[in-house]
Amino acid sequence: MINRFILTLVTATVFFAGSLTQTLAENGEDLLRLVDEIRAPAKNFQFHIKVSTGSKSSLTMQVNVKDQSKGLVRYLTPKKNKGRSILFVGRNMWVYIPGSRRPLRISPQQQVLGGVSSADIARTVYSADYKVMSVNADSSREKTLSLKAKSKAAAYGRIALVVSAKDSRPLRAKFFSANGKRLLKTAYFEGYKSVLGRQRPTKLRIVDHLAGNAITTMHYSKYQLKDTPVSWFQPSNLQRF
Amino acid sequence: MRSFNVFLISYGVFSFLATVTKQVRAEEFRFDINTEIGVYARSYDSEKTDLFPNGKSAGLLTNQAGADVSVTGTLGKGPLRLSGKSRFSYLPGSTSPVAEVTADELYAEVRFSDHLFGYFGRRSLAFGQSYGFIPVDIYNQPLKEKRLYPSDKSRNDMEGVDLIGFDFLTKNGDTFKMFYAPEFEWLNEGFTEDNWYLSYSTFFETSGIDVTTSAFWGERPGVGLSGSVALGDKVVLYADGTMRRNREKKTLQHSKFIDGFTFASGNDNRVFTYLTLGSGYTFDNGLSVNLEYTYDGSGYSQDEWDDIDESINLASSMSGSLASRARGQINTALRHHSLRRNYAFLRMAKDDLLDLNLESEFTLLHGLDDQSGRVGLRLEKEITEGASIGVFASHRYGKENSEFRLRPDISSLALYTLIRF
Repeated sequence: MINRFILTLVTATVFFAGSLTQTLAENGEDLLRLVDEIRAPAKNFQFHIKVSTGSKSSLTMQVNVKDQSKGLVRYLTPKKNKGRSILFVGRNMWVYIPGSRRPLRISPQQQVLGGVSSADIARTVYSADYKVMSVNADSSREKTLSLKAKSKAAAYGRIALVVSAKDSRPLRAKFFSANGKRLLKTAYFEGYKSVLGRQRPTKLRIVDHLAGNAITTMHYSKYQLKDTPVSWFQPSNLQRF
Repeated sequence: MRSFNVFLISYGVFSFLATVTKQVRAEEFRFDINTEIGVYARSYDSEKTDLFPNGKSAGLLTNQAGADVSVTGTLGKGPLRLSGKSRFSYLPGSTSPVAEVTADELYAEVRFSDHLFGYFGRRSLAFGQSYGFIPVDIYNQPLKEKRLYPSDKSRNDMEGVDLIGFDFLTKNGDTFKMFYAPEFEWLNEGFTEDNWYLSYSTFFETSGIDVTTSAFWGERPGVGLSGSVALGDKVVLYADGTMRRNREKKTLQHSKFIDGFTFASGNDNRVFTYLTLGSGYTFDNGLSVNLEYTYDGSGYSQDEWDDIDESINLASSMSGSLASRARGQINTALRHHSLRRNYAFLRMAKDDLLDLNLESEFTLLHGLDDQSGRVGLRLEKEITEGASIGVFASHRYGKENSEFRLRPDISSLALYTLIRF
């Protein structure tokens, strides 16, 4: 009798624990989708980024996104980098430097300026690279999504993404190394403005913990819906930009 | 065959212009021009070698100062784009100042659609994934590179290839490239035969592998293969290789000096493999490291090199004009970017060294056959928008008469500034 009771209890616990995890994951994925919709206004769009690191020189770039999985980053300034471009197809990246005259394969970890990597610029949605492991309600105002990389090709092993409980807007994120233990960067989503019909962050402030907490800011502007030709997203075509 | 090629080119250019004329009407002009000025001073630490017992007589200067000005322009209207790059180089010297104006590029390209582009004129071309030796970069002329500037500028300051061709980009992400580069009196002066080039590039998204296969006909016809893949978020693996007929290097027929040395292009019609395997790793702090191994089947074997070494020693035992002639013959035969068969290459680069906005690059090219090599260190800092200053130091090491110690310029230090507007 006792054994039957224990067996029933264990079975029920496993069942409810499984159901609870499933429910959390579903909610988490929905929440992440909402966050992505705030960051990326559509599947196909274009925007500008200005990346600056305090007193150091800054970069401006135009980014074209196609089907959320392809990105083309074209450097506009400074003159030294003009003509340079970075292509993202899924988790694969190439850089084109005008003088080199050829597209070169690079890793997502390759840095653009300060604490900003190429992946930070061109990857506009988290759900493509990360899955939700848990959602914690930190307070009545904030929730934390624990994201884990879907594969080793993702730029970070783990992300702790804090969102507003009220409207799911991303507030800040902590990025961890491949093993998920080492804190690399913290990003703050700021400057919320009405862009293409809803409130979106126009500033991302990144604190690089590996470089003495150096701060790099990314300003987003000139958002527009644009369907870029598919041929733009081929390494052999980068020379034409 | 030549008449057919000329007809083909004429027809291509005519069709090209006819199409362009129709399409450019009612479109706005797009114009972009960029100028880059480089000023440098370079100092050498020379050391006598058996091949160059007197550095100055070989035309090498202990100190140099010069300037390079390059102007790049693009004019576009509708589907037509005209691009050009001209370069002026000035190297003052006490006896023979050098001033050269070069048209590196001047070509027209028309976009027939988002997937088809045609072009003709002089165009700079580069292929491959590697950083040290790039076997598939068959139109590169590394001996002409002015290596004191950053590698992308050094590679860019080159005369292009006179050609006509087209690129076809499929909707699936593949690219076909084909061009014809004729050998005429006033076109492609370095060529001895007409060149054809055909390549196909594709990307396998599921595996993340990109591949380019090529075939080319000319002085040294052959086939090429390039590929790369990223592993995780930090590692990149890549390879470039060719198999080409004929050998560029001349071998010493015998080490005896009978009315001069006899060098000849042996092994004609044999196929030579040239292969670079490389890997790249990016650290969390942004440091990028590339390590490459290169095998050049057309390089000198140990036996061939022993013969050359013997001939250098023989030339050293001579005197007067006979010695000069012997050394000149050997030097001419050895004027190649690389001479042996096995190399390792290391590159370490970081854009923001010590958080000082300092671009840094360290390179090491090590010959595995004779343990000689070359190290280089470059530091460059942007001092204001469009202007940067840099320093480049290089040093060659190895035992006497090894590949990298044949010539007297053992070490060099260069200071340069680059201004862009």
